[in-house]
Amino acid sequence: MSDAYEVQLVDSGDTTYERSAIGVVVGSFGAFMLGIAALFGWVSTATYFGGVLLALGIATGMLGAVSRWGGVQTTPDRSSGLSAVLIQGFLWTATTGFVASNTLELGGLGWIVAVFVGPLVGALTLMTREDLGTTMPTAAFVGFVGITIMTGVISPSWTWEPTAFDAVIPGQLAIPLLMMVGGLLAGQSSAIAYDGFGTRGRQNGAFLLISLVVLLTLSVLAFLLVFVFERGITVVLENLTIGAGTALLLAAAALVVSVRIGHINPAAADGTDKIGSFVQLAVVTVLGLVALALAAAIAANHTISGDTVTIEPTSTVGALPGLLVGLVFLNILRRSSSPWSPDTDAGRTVARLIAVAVGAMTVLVFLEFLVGIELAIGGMAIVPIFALTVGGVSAIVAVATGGARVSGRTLPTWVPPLTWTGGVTVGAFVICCLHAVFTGSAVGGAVGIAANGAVDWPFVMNPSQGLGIQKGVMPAMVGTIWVVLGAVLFAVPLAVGAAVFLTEYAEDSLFTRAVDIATNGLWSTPSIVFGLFGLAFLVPRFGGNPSIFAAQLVLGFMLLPLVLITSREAMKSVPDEYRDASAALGVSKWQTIRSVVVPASMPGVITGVILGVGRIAGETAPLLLVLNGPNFPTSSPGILSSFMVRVSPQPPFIHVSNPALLERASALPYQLYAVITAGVGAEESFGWGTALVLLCVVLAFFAMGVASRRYFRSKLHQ
Amino acid sequence: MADNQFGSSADGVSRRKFIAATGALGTMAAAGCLGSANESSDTDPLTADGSSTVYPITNDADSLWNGNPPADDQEYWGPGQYGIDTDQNLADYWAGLYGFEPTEERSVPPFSTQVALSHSGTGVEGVINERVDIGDASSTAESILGSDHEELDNIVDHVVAVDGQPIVVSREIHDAGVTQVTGDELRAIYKGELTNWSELGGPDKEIYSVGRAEDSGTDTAFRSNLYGDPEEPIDPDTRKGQNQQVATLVEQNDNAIAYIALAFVEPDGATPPIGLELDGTLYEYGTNLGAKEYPLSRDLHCYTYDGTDKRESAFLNMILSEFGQTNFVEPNNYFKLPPERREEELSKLADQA
Amino acid sequence: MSQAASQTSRRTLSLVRTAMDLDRPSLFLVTAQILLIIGTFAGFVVQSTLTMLFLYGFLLAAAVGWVTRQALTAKVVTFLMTAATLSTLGLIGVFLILEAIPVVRHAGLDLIWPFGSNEWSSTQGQFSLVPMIWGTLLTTIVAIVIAAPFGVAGALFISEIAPDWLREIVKPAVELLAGVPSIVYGFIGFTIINPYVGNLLSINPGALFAIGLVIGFMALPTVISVAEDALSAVPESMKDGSMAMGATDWQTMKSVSIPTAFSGISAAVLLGVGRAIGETMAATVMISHSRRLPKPELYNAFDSTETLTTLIAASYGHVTPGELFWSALFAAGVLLMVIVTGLGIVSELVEQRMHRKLRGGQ
Repeated sequence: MSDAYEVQLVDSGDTTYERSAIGVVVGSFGAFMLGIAALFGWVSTATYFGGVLLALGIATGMLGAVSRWGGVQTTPDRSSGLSAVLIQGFLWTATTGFVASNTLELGGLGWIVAVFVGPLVGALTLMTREDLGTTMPTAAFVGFVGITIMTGVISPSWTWEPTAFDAVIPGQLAIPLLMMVGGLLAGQSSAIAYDGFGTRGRQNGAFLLISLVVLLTLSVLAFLLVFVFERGITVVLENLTIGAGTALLLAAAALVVSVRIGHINPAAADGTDKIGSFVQLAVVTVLGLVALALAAAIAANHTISGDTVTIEPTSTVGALPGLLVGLVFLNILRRSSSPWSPDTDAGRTVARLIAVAVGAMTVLVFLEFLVGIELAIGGMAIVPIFALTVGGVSAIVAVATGGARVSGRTLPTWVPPLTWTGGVTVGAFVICCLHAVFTGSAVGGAVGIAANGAVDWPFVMNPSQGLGIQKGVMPAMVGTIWVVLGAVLFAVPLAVGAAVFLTEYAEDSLFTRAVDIATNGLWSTPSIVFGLFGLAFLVPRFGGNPSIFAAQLVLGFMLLPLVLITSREAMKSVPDEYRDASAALGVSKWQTIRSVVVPASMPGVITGVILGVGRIAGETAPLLLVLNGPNFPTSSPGILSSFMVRVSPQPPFIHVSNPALLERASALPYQLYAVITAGVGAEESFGWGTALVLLCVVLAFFAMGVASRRYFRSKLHQ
Repeated sequence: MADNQFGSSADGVSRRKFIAATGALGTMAAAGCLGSANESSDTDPLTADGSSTVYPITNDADSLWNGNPPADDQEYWGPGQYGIDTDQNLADYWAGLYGFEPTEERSVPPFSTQVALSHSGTGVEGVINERVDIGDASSTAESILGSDHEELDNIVDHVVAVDGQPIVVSREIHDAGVTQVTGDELRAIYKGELTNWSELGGPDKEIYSVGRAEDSGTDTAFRSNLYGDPEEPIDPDTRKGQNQQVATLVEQNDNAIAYIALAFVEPDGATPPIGLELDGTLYEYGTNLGAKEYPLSRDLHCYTYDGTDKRESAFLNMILSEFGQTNFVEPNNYFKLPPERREEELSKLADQA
Repeated sequence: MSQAASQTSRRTLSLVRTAMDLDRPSLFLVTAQILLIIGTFAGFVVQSTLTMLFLYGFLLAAAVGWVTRQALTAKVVTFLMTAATLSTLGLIGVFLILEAIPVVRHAGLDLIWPFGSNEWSSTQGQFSLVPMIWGTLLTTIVAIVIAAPFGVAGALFISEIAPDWLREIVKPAVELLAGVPSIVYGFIGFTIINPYVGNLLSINPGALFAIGLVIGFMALPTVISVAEDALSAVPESMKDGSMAMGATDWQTMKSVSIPTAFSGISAAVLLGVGRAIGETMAATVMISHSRRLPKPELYNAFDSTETLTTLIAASYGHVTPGELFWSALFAAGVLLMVIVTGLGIVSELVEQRMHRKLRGGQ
């Protein structure tokens, strides 16, 4: 390992030799990319490819020759090592064999010649010094291939038809492949040359190859995502109409959130943090500009439209987006709220008033939800007016507090802190939105909350089939939501319960080992087998037809091992000190589990559930067998409104049923399959749109899972 | 921060309560807008499933039915154009003939319909097992189930259209001059005996023969009509489940030949038809494919089980009417039923209210 | 073996002793809960109308127990949940085998015997799974040729070569690759890869080779994650010792890390194989579904036939419960389960061996 290892203790920077080696590495990378580009059709295969290869071969040979005879100080081993011998031997055997038997038409004789030539080259490689042995055979091979291509022996119109394969391999495929192989070989040799051969050099070569492999994998991933996005985005955004008021609200919310979670201080950060903070700054600026543009559009009553997306200059806000934004703001305010315990009577009264007001608003809205109609006195709706008053008062107080804080004045003690008044204002806004959602009536006029119609997104909100409408994926999305929800409700309690038992109660025994084996077996079972199981076991017992309920159970079974494994790990990683401390306080075992172990392991369990949901949301195979809905459904399943409870004299005396659960339905991945089954043809763009939506949903879950894992891990390490 | 390690705060709203409240609110909001139960009715929806050949007809009928357009919608309904005197919506009218109450609402029919797509075998099995109300098949139930099947007496055969099953080839083959083929050549292609287009006067390319799944009506009819035996073993290069997939394959490849339904033929597009010469007669698309003697022509069936009930009759009545034949059969390139056959089929329906 | 047996007998004895220590109501509640849930399960399996009654009874007993004897009820309920998890695998196996029996009785060993007729024709009652098994084999080989070297290289990169900041990017990216649904891969394969490969090589679309490539990419993240875990488990002390001797990073990897983690890496490759075998949707939409052995040569990976998984997925709409075709699908499912479970067990054993070696070596 340490023979002929003359280490330069002082590295005086790159010599010309090293620079030329780098040059050859870059050149081979370029050749490799050229080959890939030719495969993708971005560049047409031509004879100059051969020239590139020839140049590479010559350059590689020069590197070796200069090292051996040119007086450059390198540190090669005495022999080239086994792996180089094997590679070269195999390469030359294959090449000679192909050339001899096909081009020279020697047939089997050609292969016999190859069997001699290959090992001969291998032996030569073995016997020469490493610098020659690594570069010369490679240079000869690459150069030879280059000459073959340049002289047109293998030209873009060349074909090879091996009888065994019933395929025609054209020059258009062979030349790029040869370019890639040649680029790889030359790159590896020159990378080895860069560090002067020897162990350092070989390390370089190996690292180059490995990094290239990883780069390839990641670029395939990136390419995939970009490709689906590019093909699907036009369909998904087609005819999207959004009210400017709603858009403004969403942009403002995004702005606030990004300011909060980011550290916008590029000057103070360093390294990757610097890049991160610059990115954050850019995001914030863009959002700010967008918000300004939207506000201007509202003021000027000007419709913004581009392609098929329209932004209408309405100043009303949609109820659902408003609800969403309001909840986000509430969460932010709650996070940063400080406890307020007033000491004065006045303060306490104010606090109680606030509580009563908020409570009253909530109860009224809840009543409206149950009753379904708007509560009104004398033609005037109670809830919005009440909420608006409360919200207005608290807004005024908040502004006053903010102003007082800015100008430095002190406030009377009975004034609640800013976060509280702000919270009440946002709360009132949320109540108004809920009112609009439950009763369908708008709040306010030109500036207010519209019950619906603020956002019209055909692709997401329309059914997949109907007279004269644009096709959408709503039934599929609703189907996916219900199926996933059902699976989670079924599998998570089961898995968490089993995890509790296995970590806390059970000791290592045959039983636990059997459960381990069963869990691993379940985890690696193919998804189609789960589908078959559903067909054989569940479907006959739930009405004999494929149904949503059966799909929920099947996906639940698939989710079970994932959540079980992550929950077990989460519970095992709860430090024993917690349990010991709890026992020391005299708490019983079950109480410890309930109030110490389970809450502490919740983050891990939640992460596992999110990641598992991400996985099952994309599963198609079991759905094919147990859900099997119409290809282009005309309506979404209405489950919440179909629950029925009856009492009857036959067993089991109390029937709880939901017929909607026993119907077939569609789900997002199933919808994509249906597009393919229905013959892609006219529906191809719809298919790409569905693929994009599916990808977004799955990746959103995945991103949430990774983010939560990172968040909880960082909290644990604090 | 107000939260301690376990998500509960000293005072104020704890994280867990907040999440619970949000979840409850979210569910209520979702209930408000997601739950779209069938407002329509106590009547179960009419379900149909089966052949991909019949699918274009039943699917068009189904989407028009569920849309329930008003009478003044000349594009989709306009009863005056067909000599029908009514101002009811489409589904209201056709269902009203059998006693169903009109809803007078667009997109809300008296009962909804759902048409699924698989193939004839599934359709026939489904209607026998009462999984669906109407089983679509592009081949007779006898040929699919076998002539001694016990349930054959319980199903009612409603013919809604006629398909002259043409042979199509890839665009490149058609343009290279192969515009007709004999019955013997076709038989040999699907048995794997003829493998190159050059043997038929075409370019030097392998013949890529596309077949259908073994118990699809199209495949059964093809084998029955060409080889005389619906169970004749043939060896196509690939088998696809539906006509739609076959059309895609013919389009994607430049050496394909396939048997397909009329609705999927594009004479100037990706699936041009070629003539078939059988027993001395040349059958060509647009000329005589509809002739009774064309051996490959077949009836398109909608089977019902145990008679025909009111919903099924209402739906089928619409398809069999002049309105239905003009709007569902003709645009899909199939042959309308001649009037005598239509009368015969109408007599199989239930009595009108 | 005897150790396990004595362990089990000791456990049962302690269990019985604990049971006898309980007071009457607790004993009653526990037995009630256990019996009621067994009743529910049995009723469900035989499709009796009393199932829901048993379920209500169980819920009642559990509620009463929760209010009165919470700790005990919690223990019993969580034990039942664990038993449920354990029984799921058993249920799957049992019901699959039950449904597969008719075709096994009809075709016998012909189902998998490669030297028989190897014909699949549902209309003529011939059900040989050999073409499907061969198709699975070919695609899996191509997939592993891609997934194994790429996967091990990726694992080496992540655990040894990459600097910290790069690792933070590459690891989630690999998990992202695993998260892409297989139907999306299938859609891309159907619309882009099939026509492209078909045109380039003048073959019929759906080449097993192209399918193997796609499946290989899907199995890649599995191999990378498990192999990376194995490589990270190599103790730092071994690597440090090697570096102290003057070896380079690469030499350490080659001669210390990889041989030590070899069992883990082989376990990773085996899991990747299992994943590749079980992959359904991408293959189903790309393959041609002509159920015969490849022509003209058996090893012609450019032909397109059928695999075990695609057979099941493509035939679901064509079969009615009870007929032989239906049963044959379940036979294919049983075969799949056996192969994948076998692979899983082998990789478990291999991994256990590695853990023992590492622990014993310290």
